[in-house]
Amino acid sequence: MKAIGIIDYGMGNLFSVQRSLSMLDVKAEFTNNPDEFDQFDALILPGVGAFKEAMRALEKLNAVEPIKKYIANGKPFLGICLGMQLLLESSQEFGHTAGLGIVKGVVRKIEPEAENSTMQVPHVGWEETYFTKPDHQALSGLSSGVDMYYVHSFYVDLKEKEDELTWTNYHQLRFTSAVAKKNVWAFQYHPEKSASAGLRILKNWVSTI
Amino acid sequence: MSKFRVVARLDIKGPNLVKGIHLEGLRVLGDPGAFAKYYYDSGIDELFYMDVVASLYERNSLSDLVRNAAKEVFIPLTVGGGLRTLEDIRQVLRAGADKVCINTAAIKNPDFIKEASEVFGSSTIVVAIECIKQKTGQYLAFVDNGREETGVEVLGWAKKVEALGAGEIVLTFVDSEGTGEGLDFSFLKQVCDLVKIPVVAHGGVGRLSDPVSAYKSGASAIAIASVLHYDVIENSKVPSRVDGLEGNDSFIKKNTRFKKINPLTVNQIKEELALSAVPVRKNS
Repeated sequence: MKAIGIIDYGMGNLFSVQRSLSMLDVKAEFTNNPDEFDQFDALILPGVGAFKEAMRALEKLNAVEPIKKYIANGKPFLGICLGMQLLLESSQEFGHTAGLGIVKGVVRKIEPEAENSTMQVPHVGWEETYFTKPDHQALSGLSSGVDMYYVHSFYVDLKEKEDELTWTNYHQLRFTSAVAKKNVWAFQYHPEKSASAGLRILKNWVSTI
Repeated sequence: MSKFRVVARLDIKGPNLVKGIHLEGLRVLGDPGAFAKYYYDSGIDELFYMDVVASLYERNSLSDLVRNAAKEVFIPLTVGGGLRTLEDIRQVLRAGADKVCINTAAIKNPDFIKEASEVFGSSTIVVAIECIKQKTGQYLAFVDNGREETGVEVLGWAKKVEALGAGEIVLTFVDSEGTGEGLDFSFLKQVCDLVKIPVVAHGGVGRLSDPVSAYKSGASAIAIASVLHYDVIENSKVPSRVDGLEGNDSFIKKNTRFKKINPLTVNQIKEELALSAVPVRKNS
């Protein structure tokens, strides 16, 4: 049986990710020990919360270099929500914070364009999600426009648009809602909270391991 | 534009799903886990668990229920009832909740909203406002399921709750709750116009047009209990099972019918919303 590790660095709800995988008959273990990373056939970086605090938590675990090395070795790597944003080069949250730099681009705050805008931040809810790469394995069995569940105040602004897997509109803002770069898949939305469509994405990912 | 959410509200007492009228006179309906799974499979967008006696007894016992639900239900879960400390919140989040709902603790100590939203993020913190219209025309906030008056005026409180960092408000109309008589849409609109954070309307859905009216009043979601539960029971969609001695279970044992409430399904509600051009999530 394949071994999947969920990186536990103290940010957010790890359990729902684990439970959704167990629904797919896959066992995933939590790990906060970078020395163990190589024992896993695939790794997940979940997370909800603040970018700066999350980077600090990863640094404290000495996990930054091991994550980069793991990805460079080509094994499947999945980022969810904050776990996607951390893969970028930097975030503009509270000034400037460097990220893991796996994906080129920056993380920006969602900001209503006009004072009287009805746009709410954080962006919480179900949103139609459109496919930039409809033929990508991650989206197998799903149709562009499928509803996914989002909870975030920041979004990813890519430098290299070919990394974009899906995109989403929130009021006037069009943002990249998933990236696929070689062995790295990452989602702004929560597949583990997006009912059967989300479970399908996880199933597609598990099938690559 | 986010999809308008249809939320199933699950009132919990001890191990059982219960339902009252005006949040009172609780009757035992069955196993909350079976209802939760059924609603999930039917395409509900979110589940909202409320331990309706927790504040009264100063306890919170939802963690086990949530832990079990989170094993087979992959949509957002909101959990409330008796959460008084950051540690209480941490506990239900660890059990699998995505959002927590506070009421009594927020009114007793408004700074609790600020503390909680700073620690867990605004998107995690929901504040429930149980409102009752007074003879003066003013709306006041209540706690303990509409039992205890606080003297807090609802519009000012809603504004304050937002300023303190809450990510969402659940506005319960105690007067219509459990009656199926419809909500107070004009007051709902006043609250929605006042705050930028999402408002979940709750208490009184009886007709298919009610969720549509809630959307038109500016609500981001509608929380529904009776009409959904009664469909499940009347049409025996989940095996009936009642645990323990907590509460009045004669209702389910005698197989009594609900006279005033017309049962509705998640599908019927969503179809009606879609027909009225309200954006709703498709159950794929």
